[in-house]
Amino acid sequence: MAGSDRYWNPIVETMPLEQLREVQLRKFRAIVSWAYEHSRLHRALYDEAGFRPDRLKVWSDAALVPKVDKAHMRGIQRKDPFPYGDALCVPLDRVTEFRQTSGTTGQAVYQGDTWQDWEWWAECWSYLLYAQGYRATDRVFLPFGYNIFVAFWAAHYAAEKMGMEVVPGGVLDTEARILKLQELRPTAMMATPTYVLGMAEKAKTMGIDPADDLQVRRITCAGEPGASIPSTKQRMEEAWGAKVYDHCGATEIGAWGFECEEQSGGIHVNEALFLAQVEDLETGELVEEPGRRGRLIITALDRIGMPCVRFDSKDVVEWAEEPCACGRTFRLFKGGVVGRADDITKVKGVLLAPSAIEEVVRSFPAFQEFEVEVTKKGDLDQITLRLELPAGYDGDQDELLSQLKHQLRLNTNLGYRVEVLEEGTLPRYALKAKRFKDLRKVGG
Amino acid sequence: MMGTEITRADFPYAELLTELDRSVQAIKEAAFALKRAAGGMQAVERNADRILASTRMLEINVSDLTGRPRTMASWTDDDGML
Repeated sequence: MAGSDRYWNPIVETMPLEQLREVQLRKFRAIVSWAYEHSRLHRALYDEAGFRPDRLKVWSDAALVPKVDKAHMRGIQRKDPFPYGDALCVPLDRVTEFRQTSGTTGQAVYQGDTWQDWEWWAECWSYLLYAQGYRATDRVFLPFGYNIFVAFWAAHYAAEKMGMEVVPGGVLDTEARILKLQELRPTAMMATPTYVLGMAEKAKTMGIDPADDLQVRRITCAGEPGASIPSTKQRMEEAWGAKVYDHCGATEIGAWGFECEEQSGGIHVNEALFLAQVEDLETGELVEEPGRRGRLIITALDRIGMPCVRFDSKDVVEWAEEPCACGRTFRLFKGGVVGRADDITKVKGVLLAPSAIEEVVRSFPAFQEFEVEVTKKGDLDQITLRLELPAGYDGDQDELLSQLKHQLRLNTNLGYRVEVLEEGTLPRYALKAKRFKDLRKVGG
Repeated sequence: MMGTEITRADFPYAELLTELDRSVQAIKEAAFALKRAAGGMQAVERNADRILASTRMLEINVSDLTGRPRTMASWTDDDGML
């Protein structure tokens, strides 16, 4: 079939928009009805709002469905059916997978999936890996200790489904993983951006240049926004001599978005499996036009164990103006997830997204790791940026810092106190990096 | 428009999807028949359930695009029709 070399499912990925919307609306009605009939959480929410699934007649009715957020999920768990509580839609003996969120923003949320849901997770990842050029001929290395979090589990299952050879790289330290890469010559790898950079740094101390001495030519990132931040992506691509791709997902949602081989500066929403709605950050009004940021409200159209219906992801996104050159009709979010509604904070009265700082810092090749701390001195906010500079840096440090501060001022409209640290001082993260610390809220 | 079958005039792959869907439904029927005939034998029932979960992925990729009624839970044919 035409397109089979480019698309996991050429029919739905290039489906004319009008037909795709019809399919989505039909599936949306089905999952909303399923949630209403089988989840006590959703039924209570919908009843309280006076909403019934049979009110879903036309596309615009989708906005009538009450939203769910993490607070709802936290409120029901640790109750029967234990430990998932009222959102579980299937008999407990149909749950085959337990995962939980990382708890970065509060108490961790438990997620139970049926085997069907687990097949679906692998399906989500198959769409994205195929779009990023992964094929059955790849040997893929996963330098990550799989655990209670969903990270990379579904990637592993998808890679197997697609016929790849999967090398699980858990319970090895970074040095052992690099040696394994050298020994087995994997062609692809998946990790967090921080770890991808950390591995390259470590490899160099071992006398191994990943770009020249290893065969990894394709890397998919998860867990942090780095692969959609141009300067971080460039740094990873140069270090590894590989194409680096981003993907978006969450435990409660699924792997909902992916960057394709075109690397057009955006993330495709997998509209075969998800319905994405964007709401204005202030007014909640539906945003359909490009160039206006909003929060992503998302529905997993086929997940049944614990449904994700109109879930407030708190991801900040913006529709792209142009369709992607890859030929998919799945729409794009420009720049991927550009922030988190709960991460964007006011400093000195200016809205600040931590990813904007990363974009600037990573554009200066001299800097290694960094962290940002916001404190309050009297009534005034203060931002301290701590940066690692290699001991042997032979450039003009004052000039470098002056350029950095200038660029930060241009990109974020804020002034920074900058501290330079020795290389290796700051922590290296394997999962989600915590580089942005707002100490104002804890009395710092 | 909702719930209507996609026809060849609407969509160039309509005929192919219909043909693929027929095969998907045949797999599903065979797996359910296997489960019913197993008489509780776990080695058959559990493997049939896995086939049905995979078959649901075929439905997502094929059958759901044709507009046919959907089954939500793959392991049963009597609780998920909407």
